[in-house]
Amino acid sequence: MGIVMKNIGKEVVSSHEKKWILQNVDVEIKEGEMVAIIGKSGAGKSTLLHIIGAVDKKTTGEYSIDGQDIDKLKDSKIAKLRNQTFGYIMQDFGLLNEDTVYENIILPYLLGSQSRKNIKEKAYENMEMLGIKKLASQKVEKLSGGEKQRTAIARALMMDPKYILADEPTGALDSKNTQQVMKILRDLQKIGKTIVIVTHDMDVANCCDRKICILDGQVVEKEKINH
Amino acid sequence: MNKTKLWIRQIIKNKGYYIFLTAEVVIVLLILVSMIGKLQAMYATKELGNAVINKNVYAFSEYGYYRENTTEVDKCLDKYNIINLPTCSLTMDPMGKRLFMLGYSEELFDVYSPKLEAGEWIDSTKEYEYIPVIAAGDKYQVGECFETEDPQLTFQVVGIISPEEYVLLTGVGGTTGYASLSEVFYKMSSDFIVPCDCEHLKCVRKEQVDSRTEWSGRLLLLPDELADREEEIVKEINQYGYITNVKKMSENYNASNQEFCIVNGIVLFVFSIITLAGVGGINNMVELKNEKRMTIYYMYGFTKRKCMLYTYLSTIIPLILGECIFVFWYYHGLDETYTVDLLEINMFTFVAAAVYLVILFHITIIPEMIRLGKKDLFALYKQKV
Repeated sequence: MGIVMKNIGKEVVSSHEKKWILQNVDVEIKEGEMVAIIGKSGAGKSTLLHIIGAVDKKTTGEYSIDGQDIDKLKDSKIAKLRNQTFGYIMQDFGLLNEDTVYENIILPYLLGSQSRKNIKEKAYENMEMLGIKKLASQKVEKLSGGEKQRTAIARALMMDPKYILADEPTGALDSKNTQQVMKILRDLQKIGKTIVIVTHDMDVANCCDRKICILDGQVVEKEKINH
Repeated sequence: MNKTKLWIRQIIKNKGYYIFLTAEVVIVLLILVSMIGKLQAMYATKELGNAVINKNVYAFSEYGYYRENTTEVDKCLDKYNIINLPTCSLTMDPMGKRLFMLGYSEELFDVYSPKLEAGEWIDSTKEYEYIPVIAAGDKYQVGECFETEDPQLTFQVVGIISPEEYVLLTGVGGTTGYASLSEVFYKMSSDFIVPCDCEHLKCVRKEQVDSRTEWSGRLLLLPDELADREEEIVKEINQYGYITNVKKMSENYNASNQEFCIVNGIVLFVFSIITLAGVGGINNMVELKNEKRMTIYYMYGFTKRKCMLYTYLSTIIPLILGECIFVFWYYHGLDETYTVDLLEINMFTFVAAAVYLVILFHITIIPEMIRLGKKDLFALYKQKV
């Protein structure tokens, strides 16, 4: 099923001026794919990712995820979708610095309405997988960039989402940590997750199955990469 | 449940802000309650002065020495035919039920007439079949009689007064030149007002009651024919104690109320502004810290409405805490620390104070909520990143 977007447009008002930052964007992402959205700064790639992740709203077009038309969903259903279907990884990690690693990781569970058993075990399992188990009670502000990004990934996986949306996940990392994060993302793809990465780093983009290139709010190229 | 835990944890993490704001709320409540309490008391007592000032009545209390040697004072009062208007507290147990009565002299019924809820005030010139009483509250009806074991003591209710009404009592009145009506008016705390030791009226006599307590002060009525010599007489009586005209006390009372309202009004205004700025400022600080948190909460499953509710509840918590602390404190000793005379504090006072603070808080909260509702949390967050 996956993600199907047709004729997506996004208009924003800045300084009393209306501007289209996305226009006529058609995107299809199949389940289990690892796709890179590339383009220059301000091209609209993050906005596209936010629309995919239902944290932002499109102005025009149609968007369906796993056959569900997002326009027909109520706010609470969309919130549930954000909680259970998507896992987000951000360039600035998007972590709550005054909270501990463990508190950050279990946050999606606490915010959601689903009651699950063994939450603690699940959190520790994720931490173990990402090599941050010993940091569980550490405050996030004391972590290195790589540790923070691994914490963000552990949080993104907490609700076992189908889609991982990563906005410049390696933007604040050195090359060693970049490689580690990319390896983790590839491993996640191997276990069936669909990964969408926004990046302007071509090395990162080349690790993906496919590239969607955005220029001035429009898709200009869709390139399949042969590994 | 999880979300509540999350919210509580968040409150605890920002406890510094919340303690500061809660303390501010308690201070504003302290001022507000005394202010509203005073305004209520002023409203409740606005007719008090009128009840007596038409007569030339003085509040008098002897100096300690003369209190024990009253003959000299009495001689002086007798010399000018000044009428003493004593009041006393009486208790009796006529029907196996203890009654508390406020005893008035005959003349006092002529110079004073409080607001009645029903019936009429006791008229010293009227012939009553039984001892006339004014009952407090709705336990008795006008015209109702009740007998006692003593055949001389049969009472008939002729008027009803509110138990919330202020009545004249000869406490330590007239103690200074600035004596206020609040020294001679007290809230009705007895079951009845009854004539005591009267010449013409059917009344209760000293020997018929279980106990009798004379109030330490006196009210003196200067006969009209002495009006020309008033100044001279007052000067002479002043040698034996403090004396103040009730009219003057009424003026002092009004002036002190006015002063109280001006001073407290200024303090209240200043603290309201401080609270407004405090709530606004601290909300902004918390909001700045919370902006990222709300974005993350939104990203991971909160709707915008939930973000707004969460922020609203976080903002309103000092108000709720402050009010709870204040009400608890009030009923555990704070009321005794209010030194302002005649404060009328009841449920309305608390409700009015709470409503004022709710309005004050919402002046800052509502625009914040509207802003939060309109803004694109994610875009704003991205801009900051």
